[in-house]
Amino acid sequence: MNINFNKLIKFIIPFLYISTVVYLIEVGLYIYLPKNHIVNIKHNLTTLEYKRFNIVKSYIDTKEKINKNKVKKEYKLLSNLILKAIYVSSEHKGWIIIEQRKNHNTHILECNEYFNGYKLVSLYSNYVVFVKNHKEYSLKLVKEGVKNYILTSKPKFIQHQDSTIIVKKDLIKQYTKNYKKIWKEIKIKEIKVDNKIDGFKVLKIDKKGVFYELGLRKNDIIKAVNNTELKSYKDAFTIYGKIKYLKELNLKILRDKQEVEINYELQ
Amino acid sequence: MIKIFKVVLYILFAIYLFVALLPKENLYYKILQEVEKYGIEVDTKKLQDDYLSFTVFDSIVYYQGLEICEVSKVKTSTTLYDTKIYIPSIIFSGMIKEFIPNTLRQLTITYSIKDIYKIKLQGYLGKVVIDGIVDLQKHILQIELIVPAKLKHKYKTLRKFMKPTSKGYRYEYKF
Repeated sequence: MNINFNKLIKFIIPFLYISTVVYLIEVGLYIYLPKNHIVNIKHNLTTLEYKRFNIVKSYIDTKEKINKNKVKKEYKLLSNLILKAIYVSSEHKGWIIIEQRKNHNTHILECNEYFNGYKLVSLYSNYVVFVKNHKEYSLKLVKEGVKNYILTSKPKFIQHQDSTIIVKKDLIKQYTKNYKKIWKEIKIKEIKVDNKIDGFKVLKIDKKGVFYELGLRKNDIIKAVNNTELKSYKDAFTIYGKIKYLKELNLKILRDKQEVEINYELQ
Repeated sequence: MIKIFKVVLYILFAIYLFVALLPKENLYYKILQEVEKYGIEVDTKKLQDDYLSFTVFDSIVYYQGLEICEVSKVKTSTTLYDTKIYIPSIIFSGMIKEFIPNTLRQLTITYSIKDIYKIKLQGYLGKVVIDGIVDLQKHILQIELIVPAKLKHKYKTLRKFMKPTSKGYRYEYKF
């Protein structure tokens, strides 16, 4: 066998050169590139835990608590009240008109409201049910001259009370289950400052919609919810996910370059 | 002629050797570091470094701390002709799955020397076909969603983000 080693070496040498150059480049790359990567995902779950502290309310609550501690004469519901009218909406809810036998004072009571410690829990066509100390008390409608009404209008989900807006949880449930409904009524876009999210701007709002009734207006910039600044989509999604569990909600809004706060009580 | 053949052979050898010896794992970490600057974090369980391919297994993608999707496998392979990234499935999680179909299937990203200025994307989002192009010359990302006629009403919400076309919807982004 006659092998020309000179030719073979001449053929191999360029490959060796290339291999060396490539190897050196790869070593350089290896030195430059990071050796590992640590994932640092911040599960910031502290958001929305903040609750607005109302000094006046807390004072009243304490006062009520003190009053409750005082020994009171038991109020006898059935013997002291006359049920004058029942307004029943869907799911045994609505309101009633009651009259006190003693002084003939009339009261309007909504479902889940208390009267002298008795909670009105459900309404039927001719009687209502109160609960106290896990005991149920039914109060029948007086037949003479009174009627019961079936509500035809929609139950009111939003009520304005002083500086607070009371929102029924049923409404929140409706909207959190159906996001399409949200998009129909409101259009929101993130605001970026130095490539970082700094709130969400209301681009479009339906004037007949719920969000308008809740106090939001076009060009509002929602800066914070419950004192937690909206700095990412995560913050916005966390609110979306947790809203049904909250009792109070506070929005910090930038409207016409002025900071506005809207308080909601979720019932 | 022999000289040209030799030069081509050396170039091919250099390319293959470069790809084979490339510290792909470290390069992947570098990419993760870079995307982290945009709020994207990827938690990967397993990496497999082969000579001409690199596979990432079981990754969870987070955007600003929010879980976006789970990716079971990402295989990057290169040949002389093209470089392909193949993702069998992306399962969207968290809130995202409420907005779009749950799983993105058979996503293929191809970069070919036949058209050096274009990166092609192809995949399936439920019954919707995704066809996209990244034009490196014009700096445009264009994604076309081909929606079956029966399902057009189902994806009405996409109108908020995409332009309706005769086939479905189109998304364009200039970078």
